[in-house]
This record gives sequence, structure tokens and C-alpha cells, in this order.
Amino acid sequence: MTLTVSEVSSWKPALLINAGRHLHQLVSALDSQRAGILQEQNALADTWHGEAAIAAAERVVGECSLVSSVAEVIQSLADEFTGAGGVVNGFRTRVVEVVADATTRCFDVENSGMVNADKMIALFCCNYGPSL
Amino acid sequence: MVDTEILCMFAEYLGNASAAREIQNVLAPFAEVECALPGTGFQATVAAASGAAATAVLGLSGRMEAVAQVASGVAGTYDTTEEDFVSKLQSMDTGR
Repeated sequence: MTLTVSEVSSWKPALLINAGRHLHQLVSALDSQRAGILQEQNALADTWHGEAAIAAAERVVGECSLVSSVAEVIQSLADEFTGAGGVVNGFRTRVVEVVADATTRCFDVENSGMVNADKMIALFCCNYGPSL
Repeated sequence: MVDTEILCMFAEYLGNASAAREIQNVLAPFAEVECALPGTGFQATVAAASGAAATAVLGLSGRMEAVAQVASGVAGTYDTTEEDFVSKLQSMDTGR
């Protein structure tokens, strides 16, 4: 993978952080539903006894365990997005700063990242050529 | 015999939980981020993660709905024994 300056400059790390936040909200919703299901089951268990009740309770606990597992994986994705957002933001910012600094100093930075000093050399010769 | 009233309540809350999960937009967070890093393979990675997450969450919903259907089906059959209900729940997992 070879990146260009324009590609890196156009990265949007805030989207990663937002996605992480939205995935975390999804995890919260799953956790909330799981808690609600267990609460409903506990309420039913007060008046429901016997084999069917046991089987139903075991089934609910099993399904809730699956919900937890899925929620954990989605939370890890959310964490990765959020963490990567910070790393990408730092990298992008650094690239933009370096390019801007070089441009300010009369260097041309090509999209490939190659730096061309022709303009700088011409300026140097123009200013100091006669005295060299 | 199973208590049909309780089975109906059981089916109802599981059915509600299933419906709630169906409407959660699992894809949105992935859709918003897929174009965040032009020039990288991130878009394909996000698409794969999006599909896996959606399948998992909708799968949870489907399983919950299946249990609800077993319960409501049994509740509608007045001569169903507890053993029948237990057997139907257990048969959900065969063939997985």
C-alpha cells in the first residue's frame, strides 16, 4: 500500500471516533435488553415452576450469554475504532504539518511525497547568486 | 400440563426483545466510517466487519424469536405437556 499526500490529508479520523461511540451505544442497547430479558425471566420465575420453567430459564440464560458474547466483540470493535481514530489523527496532522512547513519554505511537495527543491534553489541563486 | 398464561407472557417478552433488536441499526456505524481512510484497504475491512456484526445481531434476534414462537405455539395447544415444551426448546439446538 503506497499512500499519497492527498489521500492522507483527506482522512477523517473523527469518523472513526464517532463510529466507535455509536458502536458503544449499540453495545449499551444490547446490554440493556439482556438485563431486561433477565429481569422479565426472574419475575416469571416467581410464579413458574417445574420442568418447563427450568428449561425456559436455562434457555433464556443461554441466549443472554450469547448476547453478552456478541456485545463484547462489538465493544472491542468500538474500542479499536476509537483508539485508531486517535492514532490516525496524529499521523494525518503530522503529515499535513510537514507538507505545509515545506511549502512555506518554498519546497514543492508532490502528491507522492517527493520533495522538489527547484523553486528553493532558484530563489537562493536569485538572492545570493551574484555574490557567490 | 404447561401453564399457558405464563407461556404467553414468556413468548411476549421474548418476542418484544426480538423486535427491539431487529430495529437496532447495526449497519449505520460501519456505513459512516467506511470512507474515512482513502487509499487504504479499510473500506473492505469495514464491510466485512459490518456484515459479521449485522449477522450476529440479527442472529440473536432470530434465536430469541424462535424461542418465542416455540412458547406461543405450545401455549396455543392446551394439551401440551411440560415434557413437550422442554423437548421443543431442546430441539432448537439440534443440527446447529
